[in-house]
Amino acid sequence: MSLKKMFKKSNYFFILPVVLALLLIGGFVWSATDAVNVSLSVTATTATTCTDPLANNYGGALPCTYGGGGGGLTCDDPKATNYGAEEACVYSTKCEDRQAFNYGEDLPCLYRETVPNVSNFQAEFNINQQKIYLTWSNPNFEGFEAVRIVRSTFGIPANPEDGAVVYEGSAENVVDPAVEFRVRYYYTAFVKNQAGEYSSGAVASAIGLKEGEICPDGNCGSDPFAFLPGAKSTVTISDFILRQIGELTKYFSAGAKVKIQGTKNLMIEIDKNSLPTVLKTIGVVISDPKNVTRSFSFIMRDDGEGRYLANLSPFWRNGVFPVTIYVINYQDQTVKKITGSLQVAGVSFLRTSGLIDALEKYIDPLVTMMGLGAGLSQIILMTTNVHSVYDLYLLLMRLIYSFLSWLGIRRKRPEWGTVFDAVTKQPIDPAYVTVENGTGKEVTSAITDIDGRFGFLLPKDVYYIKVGKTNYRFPSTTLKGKTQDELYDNLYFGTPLAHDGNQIIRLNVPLDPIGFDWNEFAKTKINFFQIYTRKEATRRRVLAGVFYTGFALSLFKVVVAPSVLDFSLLIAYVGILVYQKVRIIKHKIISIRRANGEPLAFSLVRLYLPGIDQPIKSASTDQLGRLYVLVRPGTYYLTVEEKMPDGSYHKIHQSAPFAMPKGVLDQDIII
Amino acid sequence: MFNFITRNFSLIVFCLLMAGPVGAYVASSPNYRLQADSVNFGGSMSSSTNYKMEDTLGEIGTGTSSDAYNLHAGYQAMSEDVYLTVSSPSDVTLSPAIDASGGGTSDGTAVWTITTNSPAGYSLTLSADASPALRSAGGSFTDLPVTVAGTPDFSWSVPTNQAYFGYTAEGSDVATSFLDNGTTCGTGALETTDRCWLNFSTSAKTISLRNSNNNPSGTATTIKLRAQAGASSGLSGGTYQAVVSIIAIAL
Repeated sequence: MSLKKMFKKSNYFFILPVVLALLLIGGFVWSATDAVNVSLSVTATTATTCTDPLANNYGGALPCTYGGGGGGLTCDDPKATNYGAEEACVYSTKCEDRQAFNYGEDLPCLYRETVPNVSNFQAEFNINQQKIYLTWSNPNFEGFEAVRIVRSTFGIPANPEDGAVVYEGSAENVVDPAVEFRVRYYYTAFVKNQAGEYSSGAVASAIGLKEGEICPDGNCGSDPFAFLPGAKSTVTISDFILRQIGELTKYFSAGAKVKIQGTKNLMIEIDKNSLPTVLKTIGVVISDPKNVTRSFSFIMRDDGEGRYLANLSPFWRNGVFPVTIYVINYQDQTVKKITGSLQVAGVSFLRTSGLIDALEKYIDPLVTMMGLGAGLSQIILMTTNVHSVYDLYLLLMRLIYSFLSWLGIRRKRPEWGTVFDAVTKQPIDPAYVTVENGTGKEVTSAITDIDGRFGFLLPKDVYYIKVGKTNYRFPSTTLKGKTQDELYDNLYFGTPLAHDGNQIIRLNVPLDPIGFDWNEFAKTKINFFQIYTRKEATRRRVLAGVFYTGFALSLFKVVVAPSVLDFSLLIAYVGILVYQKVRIIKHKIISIRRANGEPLAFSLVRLYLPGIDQPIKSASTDQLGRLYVLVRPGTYYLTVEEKMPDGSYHKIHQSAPFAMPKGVLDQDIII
Repeated sequence: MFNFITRNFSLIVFCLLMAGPVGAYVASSPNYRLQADSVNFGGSMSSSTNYKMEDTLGEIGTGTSSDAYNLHAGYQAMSEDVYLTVSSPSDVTLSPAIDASGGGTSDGTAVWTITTNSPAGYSLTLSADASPALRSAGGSFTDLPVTVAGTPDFSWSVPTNQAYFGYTAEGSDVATSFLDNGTTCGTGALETTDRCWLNFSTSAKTISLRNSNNNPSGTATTIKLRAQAGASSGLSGGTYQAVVSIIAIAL
């Protein structure tokens, strides 16, 4: 028999009442009451002796005396001013603790803090989209969990369950869709802490009107209480108490202008006894001093111990804020209204201008991104041959290795040789160099440095070296069979390498460029130079711009609103600048060109000591005729060999001996 | 399984009736507590000229009974009934009697033991029938004037020209108002004997609160009553009476 048939129509008449009965029964609450009669007999005889068993002279002559330890009316309360005296305790109840909310008040100190409300809660109706936009600022306190926004059309929601939940979360704005025209919506935002306690509530209200319509309830402003009947009457009632940690307690009454600290939470409180007994809610409206039609509102909550309370977050600027307090009696629909103002002081200019908030919101991530981007671009600028994403990865790996070497975690490796471009003779970086043993297993690897150099620490064995680089081929076929070329000797093509563990190896590994035709380049190089130089200059300008902007922002942020991240970024920026300066000193780049300005691309430059025919140092220029050399300070002469279209080199210049006091070429060479 | 249910349909209904209310609640808000819930599935749409019904199937209880026992098995036939019991102490006569001309202090106690199997515990409130609570035809003791309304005073003290009546509550479930930190009430976790005195009020004051069951032993809450008259209080002779009531609610 199917389930469907089993529970067929006729059975519902039987089941329904049973279910309803269960629901009813399940809803009962179990309770019990009891009472005791208390009686006391008081005699009014004219006693001649002390009849109080708690007195010291119980049974003795009158009057009764108390004190001297163990019972009786000795003041045994350490908090009393007459502690230890033989009399009833007298208390100075003034709160002397600055950390208490009621510091200076003639009451025992109170430390309890309620959950602070959101600030600047606003509701605005968007006529085009027929939606109400709600915005607010979350309070900044430890234990903040979420904000719950509750909506009602009947009146102001007085507690988190008093209406439909429109939003619950930690954002600072939400859209209430599908609202009807000419209906006033009331919203209360309750802040929830991690203990599940709610704030008293901030209130906002909006009504959707079509163009030209007037407000049906006569209230077109943002004050959600203004529509209430009797709201125009102003009556004096007891003072509202204003408390802030570390400040003297203040009192707010009709017409008062009370000074408060804008940077601290503000607790507003009033004793229930001074209010009508049947009371639904107390609403407080604080207006923007710069625009009195703009206000934010919140409600005060009954704390269950004889007080109405609300907790406001710090203000965002100084000023005199008009305040209106509505004491609403829903039973007879009357409202008592008190107006006054709060003179807010102590808020810094930076916070007022929203600068700090803007900084924290927008500039922080921007500075971080710029810093990272600029740093990365600097790294790229410092290398020569970034052809692919893989190359970027190799660069990053190299950065990590050098950092580890600098820290001493990784041992510095001796230099084995250079990887270079077989056609242009330029050193290649980054290139990935691996070492395999006789069985073909990879033993170790390295990434070439900015000068194309690599090295390893290996025990005695026979090894094979392999080199990889995007758009290059290994082993080279262009130079196959040769043991040296114009610049490098000991050319290596992948043959077995016997290493005895101590010997210093000198290997230079040529790689053939794929897709680069020197002949073609030679024909079109003038165009290439023009375009490339312009592109290169623009690239450098843009990257430098990004870098220095990021640097400036980081510096500004550190000064105005610092954090650990900002300091680290600033140090990174300074580090990059210092590194660049150091590099420039040691790696001063000059260019070699003809008198007409044409750079001599891929030409060879050799430095000689006067009187010795062997070159001390040889290098090749890059595609823009640039190079750098670093030698011991001294006097040298140099030669320049131009690369011909057929690939051969032809000496076109020899200089007279000149001094190199710093060991670097510091002037462009014009031929 | 379905055949079994079909055969014993009347028994299922019988068991559901017997199951009664379930005390533990599975969901709550400040306005309601949901005692039981079930996840429903399946079902179908039925209709006639006058009504339409969309039904679902809930969890199914099984059951059988005999002379000796009722078996309540299955989800809906969950647990035993919730109960709450309250002991009933005798009336209290404060002692010793007070001689108005010499002054004096009178004490008495009433102990209420609350037992409940409700997993959410119970609350116990106390109130007096009148204000001032302790009175006679010719006068009354002033309800103890505490420093902060609703918060007990750590120490009991009465000026010589006054007569006060108040109480304190002691017990392991006592409300935080009656706990102290050695100098102040309403804070801390100490329960110093004969401290934290409060005035009686016609409004119910929570004196004990617990959030778990305590059956079968229950928990006792001791109310210590004290009346003191100063030597020159001007009290008139007579029998002074008060009625103190408690309400215990299983949560």
